[in-house]
Amino acid sequence: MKRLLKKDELEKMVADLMENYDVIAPVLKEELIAFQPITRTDQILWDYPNSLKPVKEFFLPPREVLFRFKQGKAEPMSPAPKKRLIWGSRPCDARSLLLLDKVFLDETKDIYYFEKRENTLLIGLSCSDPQESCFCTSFGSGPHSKEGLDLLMTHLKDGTFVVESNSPRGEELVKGRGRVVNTKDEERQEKVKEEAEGKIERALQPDSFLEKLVNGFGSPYWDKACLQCISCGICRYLCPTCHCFDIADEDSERVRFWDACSFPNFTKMTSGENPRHTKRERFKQWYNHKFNYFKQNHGVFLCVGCGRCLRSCPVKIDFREVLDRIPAQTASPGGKG
Amino acid sequence: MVEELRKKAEELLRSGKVEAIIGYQRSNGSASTTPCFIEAEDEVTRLVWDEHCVYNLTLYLKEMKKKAGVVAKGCDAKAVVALIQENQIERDQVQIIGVECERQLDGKGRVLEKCKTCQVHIPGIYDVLIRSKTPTSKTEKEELAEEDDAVRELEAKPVSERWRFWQKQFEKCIRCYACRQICPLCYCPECITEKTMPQWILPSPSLKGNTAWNVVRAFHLAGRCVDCGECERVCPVGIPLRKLNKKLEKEIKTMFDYVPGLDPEKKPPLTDFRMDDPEEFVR
Repeated sequence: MKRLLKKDELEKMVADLMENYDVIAPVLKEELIAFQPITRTDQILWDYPNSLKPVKEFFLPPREVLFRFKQGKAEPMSPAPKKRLIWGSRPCDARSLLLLDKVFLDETKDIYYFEKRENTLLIGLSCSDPQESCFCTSFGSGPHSKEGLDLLMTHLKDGTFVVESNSPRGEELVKGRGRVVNTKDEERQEKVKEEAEGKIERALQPDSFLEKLVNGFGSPYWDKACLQCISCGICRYLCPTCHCFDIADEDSERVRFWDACSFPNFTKMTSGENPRHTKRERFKQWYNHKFNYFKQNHGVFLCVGCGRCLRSCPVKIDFREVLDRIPAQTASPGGKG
Repeated sequence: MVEELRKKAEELLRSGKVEAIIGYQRSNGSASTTPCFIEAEDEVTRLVWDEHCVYNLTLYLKEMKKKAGVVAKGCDAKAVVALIQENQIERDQVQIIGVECERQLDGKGRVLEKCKTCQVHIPGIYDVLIRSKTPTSKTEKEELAEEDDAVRELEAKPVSERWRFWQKQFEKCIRCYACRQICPLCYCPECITEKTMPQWILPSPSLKGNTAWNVVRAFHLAGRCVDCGECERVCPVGIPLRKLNKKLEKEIKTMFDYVPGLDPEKKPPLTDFRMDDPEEFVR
């Protein structure tokens, strides 16, 4: 069901929801766009490019205590049952959660992740102004995609929003608010959508990446392609689909926290052996995980086209170029791996 | 300047003085740049030079296994001096293509903070120098005055307030280690953060671990940091790391009358010791 709500009606809706939910919304925090729990509706950003960190941080936090221990006894953390609502997530970030579900829910259910997914409603905000670095349409999504969302809000650029439910829980939230849309509203929504999609000029061919990655696994191409990379963790950490973590005991807590395959220690074993012992191997791994292994294991590419890796790379490595330039080969020469 | 740069690069490659040139090239058709590695004479046309050339390319010298030429601004060239002092590179293994720099811009088109107080528009060390046609007009005096102020503002605050300020900053840290990775002088094969026995620094992004990490990073660069400002530029969460670096730079200047990155023959104070040191424990 689609309904039309004015901005103040939406603000009223958020205020009402705050009574039963922890509401997390995009705010401006020291020049950075960040999702965080809000206490007032006037904190919400209604028009923003995208947040620095993806919303994955609320499902796979940068640091999470798994349990505490004291004098030989473990005290399990009871996952907080408080209901949460993420307001204003971009469709690309919502789609990333569906990909993370494949990792954390499909085979072995990760209880920490599961509890948070179950307890969280996702309200999306369509993109009206995708950036040069955005390419969500290449990965089966779009600036107005409802996938993975409970509700999708689309600003008609006049202070009114079309709010479209995409789940029974979402329908429940918006029921009785604003008015039902008419044909004219829907036409305007379609126009806004087409405009937004038109701004995404560059289309990638992910299927060609898969083939090139498989055949070019041992290619000398990677020797040079990796040179620029400084081996920091920015692209991995800010990626909505990167999900690798490490576990450590800190003081009396067992914590898990984001880890990145760009770090030499990521694959270092206790014996001292490191199967990915050079920058070349570590650089290549990220591309293969996203566009080769994940596709082969789960049938989808591990990318939603949010463009954060492009915008945040300290030396402006354009991953699209890296993939495009892999020489097409018919078979892998093997060798260097 | 660009034509001259390309010509010099080509000469260096042709003469066999270098096997590779580390320079700047356009990033994917945009105004911004990305580092490039050129090994063939006919590729020198990729090289560019303008206000978007922000990176300190000397970072890549430590990974280079061949004789390389590097395009270096004044601030970058100071890192080469420090790397020579610390025996990380040999002077005759590197050709420094110095470029006279006016001021560089960040991604939003604003002049980089470090450029506002720059005193090395012309690199202090180079093999080839590419001069600017429109050199900067700022006097040295003006620049020094500004520099002093940048440190003094924070110094004037009481300890508790400074602590709160930095706790708020370190809280944001996501431990991506971009500050370490971009630093030409962070070259340890194994960083203290990677040691697990003992675990000196808590690895997860807690305030405690973040504080330890950021303090250790700054301390390890005391008397060595040449203020190229790259750590602050790349920090994704905007921690003002140069404030820490500048404070330590000032301390070193006061205590040892030493400024890093100027003289390859000088010994950095924290790697040196003398029999007449006033401190008993040093002797």
